[in-house]
Amino acid sequence: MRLLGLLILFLGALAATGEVMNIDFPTARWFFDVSRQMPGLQFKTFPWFGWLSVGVMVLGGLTIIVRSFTSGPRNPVTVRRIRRFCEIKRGYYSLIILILLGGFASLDQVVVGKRALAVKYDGKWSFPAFLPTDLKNKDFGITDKDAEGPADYRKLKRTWDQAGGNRVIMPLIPYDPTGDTLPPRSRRMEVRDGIWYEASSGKPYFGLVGKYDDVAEARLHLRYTMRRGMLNGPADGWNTAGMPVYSADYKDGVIVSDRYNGEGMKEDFLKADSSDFRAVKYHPAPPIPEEGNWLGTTSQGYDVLAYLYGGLQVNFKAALIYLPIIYLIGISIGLLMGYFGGWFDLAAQRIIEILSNMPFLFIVIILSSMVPEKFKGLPIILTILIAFGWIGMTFLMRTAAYRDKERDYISAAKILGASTPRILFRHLLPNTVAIIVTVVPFTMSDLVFSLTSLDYLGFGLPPEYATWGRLLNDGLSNLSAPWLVTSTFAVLVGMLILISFIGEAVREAFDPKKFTYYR
Amino acid sequence: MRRLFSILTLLPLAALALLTGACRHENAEISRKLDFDEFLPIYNRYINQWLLTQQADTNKELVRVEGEITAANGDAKTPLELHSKALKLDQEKWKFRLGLGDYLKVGKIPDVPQNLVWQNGMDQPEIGDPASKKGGVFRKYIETFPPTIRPFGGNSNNSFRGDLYDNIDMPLVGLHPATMEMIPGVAKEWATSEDSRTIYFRIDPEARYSDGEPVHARDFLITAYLRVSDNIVNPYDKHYFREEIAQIAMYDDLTLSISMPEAKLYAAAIAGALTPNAPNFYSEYGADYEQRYQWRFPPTTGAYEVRPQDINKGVSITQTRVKNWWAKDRKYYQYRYNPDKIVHTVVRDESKAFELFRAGELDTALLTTPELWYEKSEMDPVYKGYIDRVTFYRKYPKVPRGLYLNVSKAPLNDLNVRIGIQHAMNWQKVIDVMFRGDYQRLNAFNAGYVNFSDASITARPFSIDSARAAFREAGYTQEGRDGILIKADGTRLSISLTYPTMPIYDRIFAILREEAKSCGFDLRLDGQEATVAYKKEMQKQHEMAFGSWLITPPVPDFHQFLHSTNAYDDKGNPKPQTNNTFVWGRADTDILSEKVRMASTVEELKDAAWKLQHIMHDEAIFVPAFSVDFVRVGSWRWVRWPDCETTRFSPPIVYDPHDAFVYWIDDAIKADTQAARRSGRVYPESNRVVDDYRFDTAATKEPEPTAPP
Repeated sequence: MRLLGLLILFLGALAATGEVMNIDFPTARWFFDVSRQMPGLQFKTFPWFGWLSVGVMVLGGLTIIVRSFTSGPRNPVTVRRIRRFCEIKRGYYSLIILILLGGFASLDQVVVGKRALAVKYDGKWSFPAFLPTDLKNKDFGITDKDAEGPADYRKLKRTWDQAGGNRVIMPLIPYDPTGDTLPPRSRRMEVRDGIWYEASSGKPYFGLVGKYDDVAEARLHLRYTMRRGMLNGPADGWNTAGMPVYSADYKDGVIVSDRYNGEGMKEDFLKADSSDFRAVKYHPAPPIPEEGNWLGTTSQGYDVLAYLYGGLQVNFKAALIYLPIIYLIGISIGLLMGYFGGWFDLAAQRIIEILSNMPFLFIVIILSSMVPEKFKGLPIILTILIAFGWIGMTFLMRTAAYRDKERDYISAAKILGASTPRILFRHLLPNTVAIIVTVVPFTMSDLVFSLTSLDYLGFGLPPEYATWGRLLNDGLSNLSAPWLVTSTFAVLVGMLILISFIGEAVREAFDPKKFTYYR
Repeated sequence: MRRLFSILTLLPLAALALLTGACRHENAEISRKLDFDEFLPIYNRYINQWLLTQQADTNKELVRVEGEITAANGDAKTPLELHSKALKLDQEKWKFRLGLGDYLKVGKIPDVPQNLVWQNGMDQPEIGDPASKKGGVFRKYIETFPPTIRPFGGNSNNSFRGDLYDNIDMPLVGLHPATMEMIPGVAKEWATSEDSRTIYFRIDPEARYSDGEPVHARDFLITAYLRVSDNIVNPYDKHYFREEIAQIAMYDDLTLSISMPEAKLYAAAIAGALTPNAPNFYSEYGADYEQRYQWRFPPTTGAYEVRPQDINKGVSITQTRVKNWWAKDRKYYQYRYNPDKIVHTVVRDESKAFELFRAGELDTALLTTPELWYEKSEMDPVYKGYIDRVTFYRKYPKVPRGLYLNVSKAPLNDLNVRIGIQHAMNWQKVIDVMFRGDYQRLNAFNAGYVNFSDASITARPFSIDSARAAFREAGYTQEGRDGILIKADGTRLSISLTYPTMPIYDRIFAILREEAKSCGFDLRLDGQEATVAYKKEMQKQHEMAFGSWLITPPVPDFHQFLHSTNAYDDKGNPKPQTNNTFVWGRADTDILSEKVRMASTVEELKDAAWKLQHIMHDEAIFVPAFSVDFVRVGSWRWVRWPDCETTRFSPPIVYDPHDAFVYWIDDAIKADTQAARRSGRVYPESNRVVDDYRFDTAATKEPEPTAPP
């Protein structure tokens, strides 16, 4: 508990420091970013939401820490339950893995991003990934037509790695999850006995091959069609301005006809400096480790690994907002229903029935078409999910409250003169914690699942967010690119399995039949 | 009490009387006959009346405007003067039309002027391949079964009518699909009057309908009658015949003339697009025409007819080649329309249609999109040479596909902002990433017309520095925290782009957005459901909109996109429901776009069109996107395509090579291929590029001048 308090305090402090010092700390920057991006969360230029969050985090963290010192020894039942949980290894390790994943996801631009972690230029170090604004190409001595554009660190790294002197340190995955369309990919080829093969492949190559002016930027000079490892079929050529100027036809490696329409001589054009044959891989490109795309690219041209990471972040972020809110609403209303009973119970139940009979998907579709584009994003989707998500919790809490309100300890509290909120939250709630804790993991898996399915259907988050649902959709419409479906499926199922393992273990550990006052 | 009783008895009686009356009315005989002769004077009177009211209205308006001109001064004068000029043109038009006399006129041969110069258009190259063979069955698919096969009336404007009528029917005069010169159809000769407004046609004496009846001049008057009659609800045709045609006159059985309200280039082809209608087929024409003729195929002058037993409702429609077609030996038709039958089967799903093609159940497939060409059609039947693949470069005018900037909305009213946007859109990356470098950058609005497009205009390339320089010029001098440029007063450079959501568009605009951001420009993506996006555009509520309009050759159209009458209404608000999505109106473009419409020589039209293209380029109101200069076709090897001196694969000015009907089915090859498929025998793979028409336009293109340092 103390650790958690410290962590929250630290996060709040980090956010405040970042804002004051103009440093983008991973994850901690999020509160102020949201405050600036969402309309209404900023008063003129003052990001009140950011500062409010900082205040809540600092105070909350402090309170937790202080409480951990003042609250006396821990409840022996809880201690026993936790010990029991730790003994169920499957759940225990799943929890550790999930926490590690969460920590990993919160590292944000340190792990995934197109902005360099550190750049040494002219003997001076700078740290672009942690700056709130982009540095320009001209800051690093580039004076071509893109000088005023945001610095392209991947390109800098490529040029400086060859030249030496200056240095660029890129994140582990040097691509942004979204908004970072890569040029078409290509792969090295080798020739054996006059037949061309893709690098480390045993089968003669079928497909497009290219000679590149610039491999990394995918600027093609000539492009051929290859069959059984030999040039076969049409070929195209482009001049340096990108205009098509050359076309040819090949048969079994022998040229049949060609025509050239550009300036100068055809021979000079064909001989112009360019790369060896490379297998051209348009998006969605298969995994190409030599290009740094370990899991391939999406059909939009994003790196799949970076995209999966972005999706993981979104899921964690959503869970951290969604879970506390629906539990707060669900528990309060459920406890009140059960505790008061009578008219309040009846009325609340009817309202819940109405809500739960609304076709959820239609509501989402209608709302998502009504919301103006500038409001679209995670908050609005979460609001919709929350509006329907708290219902499930109320019934559990209602029954628990009905059962427990007749027990002696509640009567005792009443006789002692405790107020209703005190009875509800200090006496009733701790005795129903077993119910709550056991459903938490399943609520989380539900959330991941509904976010994914909404995105799959196209009513979820806007495209600036990386989401597994959209990736799954992409994969299913490009079944010839199996790396999309398999990687998404593996990650999604892996996550859901982890959560389920935790849930099972918690249920086992908190089983009231094992440790309880009331036999 | 008795009174109540009497009322009660009277009520049913009254009701009975009413009912019987209604019944009698229902049973009344509908007149079902071709009462053309009674219709003629009525309609002529109606048009005359209409012209007179139009003339009176114009005169009144002109007097008002003239009055305002004398009252106005300075800048307010110019638009009024332009308006008055336009009204004077209208006045002249009404006068000309009233002078013509009857709208549907039955004249005599001496009425035809003596000094006409008759043309027959026989000097053009042949179309198709002399090696072609008649016979065989060609199988293609349609996505939905047509709701009707009537050529006009409700629902007749469905997507199947092209296959049934528009690509088959013989017009009076057609356009050669390779040279865009006029060639004979049902008319053997034609001549233009001195004022270029009236075209005289002499019908080919051998022209026959598919039922063997000869074609008469009167049949063209009947065409007009059938379409403007009150027996059908047909506002579009009624408007067309009333306003776009000034007179249809017959002189004897084989001579007729059609007059246009204004002189136009290609007038003979525009007026000559009219097709005849067989009078005996419409002998039951009446108020119930739409139901009665729902599934009846009219006799055609074209090569294919639909026989009643070949309409398999909901499943397929088969076209059969007309026996002894009258034009089968005519120069421009002899090598076309080759298969004996064309079977259209309903396949509701595009990917299912592709599977049927792969299985050999459909003969050809269009494979233009990169997914179909590079992925799905990389398959065994192609490798084994059963299916030939062809990339055919055509010369069809380029669809003006791009971003339409609404200049009535700030900050798009600032030229510098517009120029900045031109430089901030990285279409080349879109082409390289999404279209595999195969498509080309579109360079200008209305590009690709053989005579009427200036090939020297090049679209502004993506350039961060040029974009930022232009934005700086417009006052966006600072940069916000998120990298977006802002003015000194805090206005962000943020503009929304309305487009219909489709997976491919979502991807394209995601690229444009991220590239625009590096120019400091926030391109907000406003993807809407297609009809919502269209509505928003038509209401002129968009800032920028992605669009593409199909304009048919031979003449480009600027009027509907640029003329001020389509930009603003009387109160000066943007005018809804017009295609001027730029909300652009300026005196000089008004005059030029009128000129494009009414030019009578090629030079005049070319001059005006080029000037307009330059104005649009300089004013940067249209961001050209990409163009597809080719069609990729996959066809089983028994479908043969021309490969001869005059026609390589297909005439170049076609949207879809199938529309020219130059392919043929070789049954011997078909039998051989089927045998090979059974035995596993293979042919060499065939992947052909037909680029004879490819580099024609690019040859004159200058390289992009480099920006000064």
